[in-house]
Amino acid sequence: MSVPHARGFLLLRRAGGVWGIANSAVDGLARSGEGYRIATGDGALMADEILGVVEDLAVRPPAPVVRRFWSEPSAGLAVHGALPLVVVDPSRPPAALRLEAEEGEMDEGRD
Amino acid sequence: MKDGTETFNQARMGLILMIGIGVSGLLLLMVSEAGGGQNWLFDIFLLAVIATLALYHKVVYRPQQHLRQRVEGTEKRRGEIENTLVQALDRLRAGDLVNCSDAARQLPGTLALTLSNATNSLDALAQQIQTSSIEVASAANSVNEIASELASGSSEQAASVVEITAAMEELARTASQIAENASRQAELAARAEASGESGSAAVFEAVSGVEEVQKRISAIASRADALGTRSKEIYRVLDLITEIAQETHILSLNAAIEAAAAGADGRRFSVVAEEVRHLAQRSQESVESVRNLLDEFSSSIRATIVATEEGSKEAGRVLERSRAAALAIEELRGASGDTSRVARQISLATQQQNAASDEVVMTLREVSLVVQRMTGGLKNLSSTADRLNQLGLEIQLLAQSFHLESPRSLKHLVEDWAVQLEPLQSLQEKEAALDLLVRAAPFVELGYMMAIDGGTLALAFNKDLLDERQRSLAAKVRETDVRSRPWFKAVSRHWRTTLIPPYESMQNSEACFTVCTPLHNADGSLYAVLGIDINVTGWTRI
Repeated sequence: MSVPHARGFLLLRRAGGVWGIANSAVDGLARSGEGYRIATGDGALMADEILGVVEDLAVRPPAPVVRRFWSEPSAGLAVHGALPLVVVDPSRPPAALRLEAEEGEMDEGRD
Repeated sequence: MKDGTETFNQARMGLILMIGIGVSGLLLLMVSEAGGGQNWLFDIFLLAVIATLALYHKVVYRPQQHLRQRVEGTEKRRGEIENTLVQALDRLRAGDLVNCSDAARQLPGTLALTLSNATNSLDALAQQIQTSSIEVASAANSVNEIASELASGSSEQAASVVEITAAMEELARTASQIAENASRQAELAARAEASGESGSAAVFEAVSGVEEVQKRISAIASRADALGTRSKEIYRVLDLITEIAQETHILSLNAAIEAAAAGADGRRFSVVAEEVRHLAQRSQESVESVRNLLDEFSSSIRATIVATEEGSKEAGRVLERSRAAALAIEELRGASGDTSRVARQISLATQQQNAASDEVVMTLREVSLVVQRMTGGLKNLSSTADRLNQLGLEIQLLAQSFHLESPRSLKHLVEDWAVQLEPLQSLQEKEAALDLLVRAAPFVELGYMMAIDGGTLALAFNKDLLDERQRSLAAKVRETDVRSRPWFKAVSRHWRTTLIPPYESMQNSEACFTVCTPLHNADGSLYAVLGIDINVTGWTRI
């Protein structure tokens, strides 16, 4: 996993958690139903709420004890406004942000 | 007869006189002859005397003697007839018309016929009198009973009238109180009627007010509904603004992202993007505020609508209740009016009743006086009826003093029983026969045969007139010597059929009288007395 050096991060809320994604990885932002769709070079991500854009985040790599309990890929962890957040690796987004996860839930719902 | 005897006596005296004259003449002649007188005068005188004496004896004395004998015979016959007539009349005097007729037959010719006819007429009359006396006694008894009942009933009636008078006086007092109460009730009813009218008017005003309130509530509800509709439109506008704000926000984010991607060149653009984002945020916040306000407003509107609906329902219920109350009050007013009218009628009626009660009380007092006077009159009537009853008994007794050959004659009855009992030999037969005779006579309480020494030979009771206790009481006569009893004394005075005047029976305290007759053996000797106690009431009912 790589720590992004691009300026600014887009902060979003998804599945009860706060996530951050580098602005440079974002190709576009649009509404999608009740949420938002974030287009990236590797696909699309879903967000429930867009919290805003920040210029800088102090991203740290997750500690081994965190990885023991949460093994999803990420670009690191940060804190913004006393809120912990996970910095997303656009190439390997977590399952919660994936667009397929929502479609799968929708399929499961249809099933 | 007496003249004949006197004539004979006179003739005898004449003969004696002539004999005396002759003897005197003869003595004179003897004296004269002795003195030297003439013999032939003496002889002639003597012959004349003798001839006269002879003639006198033949013509006067002997006829007179015959006449005297005939007179004596007639006197004797007359005496016999007189005795027979005396016996017959004696029996007639004793009322024994049967034996009187028997004795009359022994009289000669016309006398027997005349006496028989007279006896028969008297017999018929006595029978009628006996029959009538029985009817009179029966009627007197009935009158006495009726008078007693009337007197008793009148006394009860007088007592009842007194009670009724007292009750009516109490009723009159009560009616007076009721009249007063009714008058007060009428006044209260009139006031209630007036109050009812006031209340009815007030209720109708209240109903009108509630209807007005209901209309206004409906109007409010309509306006609230309209407001609700307008708020929905505002919500739609807010949604649009929200959408615009969100798009603007996204646009600002995209702008921020592009600005960030542009690096230093995009810094001023990032400021614009930031301002746009702020604008979008403020718009969003404003929309939120407006939405919140609108939410509150909508909530208020809904609450108002709910309240107005509830108010309208409540107003409807109140209106219904008010109308029901108005109806009830109207009915109450009507009932109150009816009550007032009825109360006035009752008051009037009770006043009339009060007056009528007073009149009734006065009338009852007059009736009470009349009843009391009537009671007094009936008591006098009862006393008179008692006296009449007593007279009836006395008349019966007088009528029964005649011995007639009639079933109504008690003397004939007892003598008939004696004839049936005398031939029987044993006392058991006599007692059995006496018992049969008593049973066949419903008016006989008691039949008895008493020896002349006072002992009881036979006794028979009428079980229909005497109960067991009374019979055992009567049987105690066996233990007594009856010679001291009045009836025994009466019959033993002349030893002939006797009727004892009415007295109170020892057995049942009812009026009765006794008829008794002597009993004879076959040789005609007296050995007992047969007595029958007759119940007066039973006798008068046959």
